[in-house]
Amino acid sequence: MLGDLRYEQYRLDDAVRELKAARSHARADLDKYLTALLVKLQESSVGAGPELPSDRARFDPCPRNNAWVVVEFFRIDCIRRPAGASVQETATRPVRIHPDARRETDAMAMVELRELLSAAGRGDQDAWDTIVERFMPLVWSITRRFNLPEKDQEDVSQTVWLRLAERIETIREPRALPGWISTTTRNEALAVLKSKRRTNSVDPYGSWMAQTPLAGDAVDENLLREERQQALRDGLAELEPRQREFLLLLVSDPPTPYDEIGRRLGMPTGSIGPTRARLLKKLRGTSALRTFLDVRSDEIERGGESR
Amino acid sequence: MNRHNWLDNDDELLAELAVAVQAADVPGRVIQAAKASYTWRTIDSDLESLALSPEYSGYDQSAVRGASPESRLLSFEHEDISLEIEISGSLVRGQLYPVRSGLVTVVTAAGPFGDARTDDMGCFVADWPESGPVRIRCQMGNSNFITDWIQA
Repeated sequence: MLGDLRYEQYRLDDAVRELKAARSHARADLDKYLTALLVKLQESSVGAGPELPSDRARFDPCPRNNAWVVVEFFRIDCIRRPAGASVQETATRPVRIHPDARRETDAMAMVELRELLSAAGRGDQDAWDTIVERFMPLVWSITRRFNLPEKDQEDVSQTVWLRLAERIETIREPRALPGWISTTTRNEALAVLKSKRRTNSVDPYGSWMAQTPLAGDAVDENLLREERQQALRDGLAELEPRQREFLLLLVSDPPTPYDEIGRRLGMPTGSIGPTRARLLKKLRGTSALRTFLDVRSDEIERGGESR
Repeated sequence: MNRHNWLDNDDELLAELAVAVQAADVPGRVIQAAKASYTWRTIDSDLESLALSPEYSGYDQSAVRGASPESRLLSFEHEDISLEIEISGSLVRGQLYPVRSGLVTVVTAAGPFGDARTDDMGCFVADWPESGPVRIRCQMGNSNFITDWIQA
């Protein structure tokens, strides 16, 4: 449906402005807002488009990235306001950090990203390198989920970055970047799967393709997972080096045996269990994880109140 | 919804942490290739971009007429110009509308891969790589075009 929208920069700018204005609305209002916006976009498009479906299917990803970023912007904004989250859930987790703190961090991160985008658009290789380092885990984790051979994963990744390099100066809204990257990566990974299907008479991906996560909810889930994983990595980075090493040994693949951990870190094997519990508690208490959770709790709470 | 299960339970938190750490474990050469992608930026303002036509996104060929199982049809466009290509094995056949004469170059991330001149119908046949990112550059007198990167 979105594929029929004729994208033009001014429409995207309008859409982004409207979505920004809609941020303070509750989820249900946002849904209405987006529908109205899509109708408007469609009316302004060339030719008559198909009808808008009335259900959530309207949030399905669009193969055409530029129309998609509009929706992605919306999605990133309301992703921390999951549908079906209850007020009771919030009650068990009191807010410890004022959500404005996170919003500020968020805003700072966005300002920083905006500067990186603009510097990369002007030809600053260092800015580009920083963007690559920041978003490569996102690209790589998506390609991993498609179970592609590593060579194909590399091709998908490089195609995504080559395309981004071509249009980096056209991305003015930093919030749209993660959405653009994840959609493009997914489309390119799907293209590889399709070309495999073409050349193999037996389709090893058949059963997998049937469950390709393309629905809007699944995409929400994907982005939420990236955010969670980033919070965990940030939390890990906040710990003391020795504590970090301990946790990294625990999660290594294959797992490091306790006696090996004890030997490497010079600690009695018997104290590893208690240390593990203590450090996981410490990880939970890092500002990265607390902020991540508190914002979610806070927004779940606000979402609940609005119902 | 128990959205915080992964956090409250030690084993699940550790499992999440493992996934998070592994997702970030990207091979160095992949990061280097991504950083090097920047040097491929088209900064030539005389070069118009030919975008992959939306109905071909995801390179879905199921609805394309005449597509044989061994070949792929793709279409790129910019305003009133379009480039249609058919990729089969190690060759790409293409046609530029409206008809133009000039030089067509298949470019990979390693540099030019093969080239061909268009005939009087705007058609060309050129070598095509086996895999990896690739795009097509068309030098047509005063007007020059370059396509989006796609996978071979």
